[in-house]
Amino acid sequence: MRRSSLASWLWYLLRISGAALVALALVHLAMMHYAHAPSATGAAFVAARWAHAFWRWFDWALLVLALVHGFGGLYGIVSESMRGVAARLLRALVVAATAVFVALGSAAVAAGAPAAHSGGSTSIAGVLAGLLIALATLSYLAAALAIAVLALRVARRTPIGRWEIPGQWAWGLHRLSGVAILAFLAIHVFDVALAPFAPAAYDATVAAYGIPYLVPMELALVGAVLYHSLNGLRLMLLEALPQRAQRLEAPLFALAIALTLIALVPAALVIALG
Amino acid sequence: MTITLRVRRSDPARGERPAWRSYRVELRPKMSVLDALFAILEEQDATLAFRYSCRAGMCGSCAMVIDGREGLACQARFEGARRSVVHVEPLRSLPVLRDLVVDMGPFFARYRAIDPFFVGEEPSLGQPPGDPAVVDPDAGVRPLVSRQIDCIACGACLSACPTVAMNDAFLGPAALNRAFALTNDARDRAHRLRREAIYGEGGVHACHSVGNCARVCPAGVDPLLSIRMLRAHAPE
Repeated sequence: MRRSSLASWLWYLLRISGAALVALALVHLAMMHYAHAPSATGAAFVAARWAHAFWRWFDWALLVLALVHGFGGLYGIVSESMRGVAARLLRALVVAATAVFVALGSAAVAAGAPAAHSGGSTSIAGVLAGLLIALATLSYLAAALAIAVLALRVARRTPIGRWEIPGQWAWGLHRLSGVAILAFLAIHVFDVALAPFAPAAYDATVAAYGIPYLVPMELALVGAVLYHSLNGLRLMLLEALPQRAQRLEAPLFALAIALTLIALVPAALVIALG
Repeated sequence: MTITLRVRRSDPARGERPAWRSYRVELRPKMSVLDALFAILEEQDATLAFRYSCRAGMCGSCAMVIDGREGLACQARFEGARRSVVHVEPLRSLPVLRDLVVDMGPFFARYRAIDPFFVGEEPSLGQPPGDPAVVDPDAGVRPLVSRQIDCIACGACLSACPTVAMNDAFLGPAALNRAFALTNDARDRAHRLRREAIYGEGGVHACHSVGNCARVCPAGVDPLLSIRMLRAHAPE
C-alpha cells in the first residue's frame, strides 16, 4: 500500500497531534483561563507548577505538539496554495521556525522553576506586550473587515460565495482559528522562555494580559482554542463513524459552535473578576 | 408576478470583465431558472450564453451557481423562493468561456487522472473470457456504491470545493468519488493503477472534509463519504 505522499504524511501528523492536543490544550485552557485569570499566572505561579516534574513534562508535550500541529498546518497551507521558489522558501522557513521555537520552549522547560529573586530586563516585556497589542489590532481589523464585507454583500443582496454553504464556515473558522492560535503561540513561547531566566520580565509580560485593549483578543483566543479543538474532534469522529452517521455533519458543527459560545461565558467572567 | 434575475455576465475573449446584469422575468407556473434564462434569451437579450441539454436533471450540462449555491438550472424552481431577486453565476474554479458557460476541461482532466473507466480481466489467447464476476444484489457494498455511481459529472462539487479553489493539484470530489465506486467493483482490475492517484499529492489526504460537495450535489451523491471510505480502506 502506497501512502507516502506529503499530503498523506501531513494528514496523519495533524490527526495524531490534534487528537493528543485536544486533551492537553483543554487542560491548559482550564488552568490558565478558568481556574485563574491569565494576568495572575506570573513567574511565581510557573515556579510552583514546574516544581512538579509531571507539569514540566505536560507543558513540554503541549509545547511540542502545538508547534508541530500549528506549523504542520501552515506547511500544508503553503504547499497547497503556492507553487515554485516562493513556496519552497516559505516551507523551509516554516521548518526552521518549528525547530527554533521547539528549541526555545524546550530550553525554558528544561531550565525549570525560576530563581526566586533573579530579575530580568522589562524592556523585553515591553516588546512582547507590543507584539500582543499588534496581534490584537490585526485581529480586530480583520474581524471588522470581514463583518463589513459580509454586511455590504447582505445590504446589496448579493450572494456571499461559498459562505452560503455551512461546511464552508466550519472549515473557514477552523483555518482562521488555527492561524490565530499559531500567531499567539509564537509570542507565548517567547514570553514563557522568559519565566526561568528573567522572572521580572515574565511578570511584566503576563501583567500586560490585564490591559483592557487585549481582553477581547484573549477571549477570542479562548474561543479559537475551544472551537479548533471541538471541530477537530468533530472531523475525527465523522471519519470514524459509519455511513449513516454522516448526516450528523451539520448538527455536530452547530454543537461545536454552541459549546464554544457557552464555554466563553465563564472565561469572560474569570477575566472580568480577575 | 415578476422576478429579477441577476446574471453574472462576462466575455473574456473580448476582454469583458464579470459584471451583474439584471433582467425582469414574468413568472410562469413551475418555471425553472433555465426557463427564465430562455425567456431572457428569447425576449430580452439574444447574446446571453448558457449551456443545457436534457432539461431533466440527468445530463448535468446546466450546472451553475444559483444564489450562491451550485445546482442545476433546469431543476431549480422559483416556487417558494424566499427572495424576489435571484443571482445566477457560472461554476467556480473553472475558466469562464462566456457568461454562464465554463470550460469543463480542468474537471475532466482530474477525472481522467484516476482512470475513470472499468478495467476488466485481460482475456488470454486460446481461452475464451469467463463469465463476468457477479456482484450480488444483497452484497454489503451495493447500497453505498449504488448511490455513489449516480454522479452526472456536472462539476457542481468541484465548483463548491474550497480546496480545489486553492490547490490545483487536488483531484477534487467527483474524480475521487468515481475512484471509490470503481475500487468497490469486485470485477475491476485497475485498483493498483489508481492507488498512486488516490493516495498521491492530490488524492484523498489533500481533502479538508469541508463537505460542500455533498451539500450541493444535485444527484444526491456524497463524495466526502467516498473520500472518507478511501482514507479508511485502501483498495487491494
